[in-house]
Amino acid sequence: MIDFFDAISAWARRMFAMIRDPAARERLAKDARLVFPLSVRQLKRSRARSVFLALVVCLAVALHLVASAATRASIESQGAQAEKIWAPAEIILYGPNIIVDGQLRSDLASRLGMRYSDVAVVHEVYTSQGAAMAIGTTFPVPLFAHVGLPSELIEDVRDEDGVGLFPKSWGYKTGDRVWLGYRGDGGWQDVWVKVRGVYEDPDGSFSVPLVARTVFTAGGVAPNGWLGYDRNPYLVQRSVLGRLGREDHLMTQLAGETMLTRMSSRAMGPVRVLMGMGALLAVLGVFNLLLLAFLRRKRQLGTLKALGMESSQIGLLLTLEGAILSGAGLVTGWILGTLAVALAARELETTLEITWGIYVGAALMAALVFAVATWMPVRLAKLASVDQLLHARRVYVNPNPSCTNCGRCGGF
Amino acid sequence: MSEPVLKCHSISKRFLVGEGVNALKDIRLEVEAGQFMLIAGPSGCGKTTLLNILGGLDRPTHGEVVLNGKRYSQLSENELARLRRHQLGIVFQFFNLLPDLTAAENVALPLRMAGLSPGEVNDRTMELLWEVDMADRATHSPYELSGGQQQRVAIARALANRPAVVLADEPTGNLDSESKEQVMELFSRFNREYGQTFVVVTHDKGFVPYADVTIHMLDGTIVGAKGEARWMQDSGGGTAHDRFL
Repeated sequence: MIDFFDAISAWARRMFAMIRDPAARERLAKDARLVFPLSVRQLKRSRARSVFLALVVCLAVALHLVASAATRASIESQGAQAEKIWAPAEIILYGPNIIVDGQLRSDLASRLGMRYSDVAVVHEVYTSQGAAMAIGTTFPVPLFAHVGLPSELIEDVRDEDGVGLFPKSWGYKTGDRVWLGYRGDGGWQDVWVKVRGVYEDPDGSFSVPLVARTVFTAGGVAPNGWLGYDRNPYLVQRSVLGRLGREDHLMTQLAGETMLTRMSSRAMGPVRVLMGMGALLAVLGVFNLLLLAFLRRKRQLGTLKALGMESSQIGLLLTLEGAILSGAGLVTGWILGTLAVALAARELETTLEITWGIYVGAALMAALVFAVATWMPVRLAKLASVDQLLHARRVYVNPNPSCTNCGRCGGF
Repeated sequence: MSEPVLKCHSISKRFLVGEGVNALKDIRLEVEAGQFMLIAGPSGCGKTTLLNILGGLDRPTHGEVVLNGKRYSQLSENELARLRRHQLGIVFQFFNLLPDLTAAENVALPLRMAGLSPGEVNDRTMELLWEVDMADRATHSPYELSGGQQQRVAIARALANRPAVVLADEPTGNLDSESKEQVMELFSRFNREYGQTFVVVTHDKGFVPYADVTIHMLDGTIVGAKGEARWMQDSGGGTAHDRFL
């Protein structure tokens, strides 16, 4: 594996150096002109194998397109049906890598004397450090009951647009700042919110600060110093913003949509596994067949080396063969996938769209299949001596000069 | 006597099979320009190993090969490949024509490797195919040719870049008697008319009359020679004339 990454890194360096060096570019073009006809002839001669290899890549690409389009359509469809929920909440923010579901959610529900299902993820905040989850209560009544708010006032509080309740912040005055702690990568961090009013219990037994009811609403770039920008902005200290990241990177995003995206992504998990399996099968198929082709062509490659072809030219010969097959598979896969998606959209009377990103993703997948599958045969062909190739002797990925000819420790 | 074009200095080759096999033991040999050298001997005596080392297809365990002043040990694999491309022609027992290419394309391949223009490649290819009497089969693939015809195409391919030395490994070993005769004649003609240097490994005694020098090998060593051969064995050496065969 290390060899593979070393090879990829060395290849990338060579490519970079070559792009900058006109003489190297010319040499590569000359080599390509020399070996391209040989590659094409070989592929034509092994027509059945070539078609099969291209078909494997084609199916993997088509599967990628169909599955990606279906996933995208599913997310969009659920997002369109989503309703925005405005909920008063005790907002607790959690930083990246904090598991929101499960124990924390359960603890909060338990602390507030609520059912687990009453506590839900309501918001997600994006900072330059990553996503921060906000959880709060879905229903306000148990929360108010928990802090002992008289039931006749509950409606009043709920009717006051933009006003919520923070039960743990006893004794605050209007204009005070209340912190919301969240645990990020760098430990606990504070986000300060401004208290917009104080609720005084008629009996004078307690008071609670009133702050904006809905913390974060529709997405967009937050104005400097403000987290959330719709009707109920929270004032956040600049020092805190500085710790969160650059101010203009602080954004909010519609929670419901984000949640639905996540849920849809989770629901599409099996499809993604299928896509991965398709790519894996393509890699294994192309790898095996190219390796087999190398083993069958040892003598031919040995002859080319004996006639004076350099290792890099031999490598280019096999690379071109792999590239032609992968390229053919990619283009036919694009066409097949596009047709399949169009057909499915017509039959299911739904909107299925393949974006440029999906096409590019499929191209990257085909490139990965090509790189992984051709690496071994190319390396073996480049490393093998003429003698090893001409006499069909074993070739080693990591040749040991002291035992290359003994044939006792594997090799191809 | 002209300058040697190809020289071997104390070549030894040991294969690491089992307890190890010494395929060649301290071989010293010189091949002069324009010489037709035959290397004969029983199976397993090291003829092909020696030829592979002379052709830069394999590296010796000890010793040095020098072709036109270039020491193989100082050359990288790619430099050796370029040396083979420009200065060596190799003829194999089983022809080793590329099955995907036609006869003409097989002959043209070394010329294309050498960077000749398409026009030059075409002219030289047809010239060579005429020389080996295969011009009428230029567009045939190797599968459509008999063994003798394939070998003639292989010889044309070996001669394509006007190499300093042509190395042939049992070139008639897989041919019928008529084809053998044709191949031998071809070698002889190129040697006589164009002064082409040949080193041929063979079991075939039919080659002996064509050769200037015949080296006989046994158990990895040169045990004798016929003709004006400069060969050396162990601490001895010198010129041998009609000492063998």
